[in-house]
Amino acid sequence: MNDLFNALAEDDARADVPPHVREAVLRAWDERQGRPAARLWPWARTLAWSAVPAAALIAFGAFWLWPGTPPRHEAPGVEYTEREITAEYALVVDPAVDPNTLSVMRVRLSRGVLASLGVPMEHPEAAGTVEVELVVGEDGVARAIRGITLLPDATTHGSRE
Amino acid sequence: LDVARSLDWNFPAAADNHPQMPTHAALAAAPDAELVRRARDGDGEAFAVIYARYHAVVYRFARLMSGASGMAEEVTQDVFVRLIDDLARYEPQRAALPTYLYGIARNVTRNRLRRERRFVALEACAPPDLVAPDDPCASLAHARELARLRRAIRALPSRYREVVILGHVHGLAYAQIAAIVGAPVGTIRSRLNRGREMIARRMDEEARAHDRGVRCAV
Repeated sequence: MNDLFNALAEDDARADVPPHVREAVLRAWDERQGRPAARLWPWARTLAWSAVPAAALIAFGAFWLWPGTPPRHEAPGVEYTEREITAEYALVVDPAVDPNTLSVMRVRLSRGVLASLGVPMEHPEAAGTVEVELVVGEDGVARAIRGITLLPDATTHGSRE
Repeated sequence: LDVARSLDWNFPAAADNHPQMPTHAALAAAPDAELVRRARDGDGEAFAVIYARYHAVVYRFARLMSGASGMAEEVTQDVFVRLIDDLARYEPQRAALPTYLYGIARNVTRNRLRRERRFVALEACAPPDLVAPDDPCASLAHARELARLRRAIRALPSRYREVVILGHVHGLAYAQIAAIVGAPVGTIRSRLNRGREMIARRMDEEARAHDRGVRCAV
């Protein structure tokens, strides 16, 4: 039996860890060290940080100096909607679950992600981002979707003619 | 065996498996406590050496425990990511680094196995790899014997399986296994004996069933 265990150990020692595991671990290391772009040159990083207040200043100035609402680039035959559209969509929580342990979490998802969760949006104005109210159990598992709100977005809404 | 060197928990030569990883020879030969201290200070190369030194034993332990390479890869990744997160809290004087890593690997593997109990790994059903032989019959018999041993280990309850892997395959001492598992040395000794008996019994049964099958076929 000992010989067999030794043979197993020798056989097992030939198995090597695929390189992608190391890459994932070292990526996690970089993320935890707060340098996702570790190969960024030091001067580029300084430049990037100094650009942040400059951009904020420009945005602030533009807000006060712009005459009225900035004109939108409108394509012919396209109307832009500013309103929120609430979809009539709700799933009922399992009645066996203690309601005191549930909480509602509001998240923003793209329409594609929503479809991948099993709730494809058929609404014609459902392009772009949607806000979803998830009913979450105390274990962190989402139990139901309480409501879906379509966020304002540029959508085709009929012809102007 | 690499693992047999671990009796004094001293693994520096294991880094030889991955010559592309440690860039500085001095770091590659540094003791664990020094590497941990440097990694804690943000030295990525020190952490890479820790990975190079211990990733293989973590992976092989998880692979034998789970019987699946995919799960072993995930466990290996989880173990080292958890080490990154726990570096500030890890105290070398309380547990040697291998003990600590084996301990995390054990917990992660057990949790995953519990969670994925309803799934059967494809590899668990796959036939053993056959090595190109000088003597095809002898090699085939050897491969079959090893596959039988793997199956018997996999069939053990996890508290026996982990002890058998650490003791009989990784070659760790009773005291080291006791530190990893968190049980007295006497318990480890009895689990090893009991595990060995269970393996022997199962392998006998399987061999007899195989012989009966061969006779029926003839």
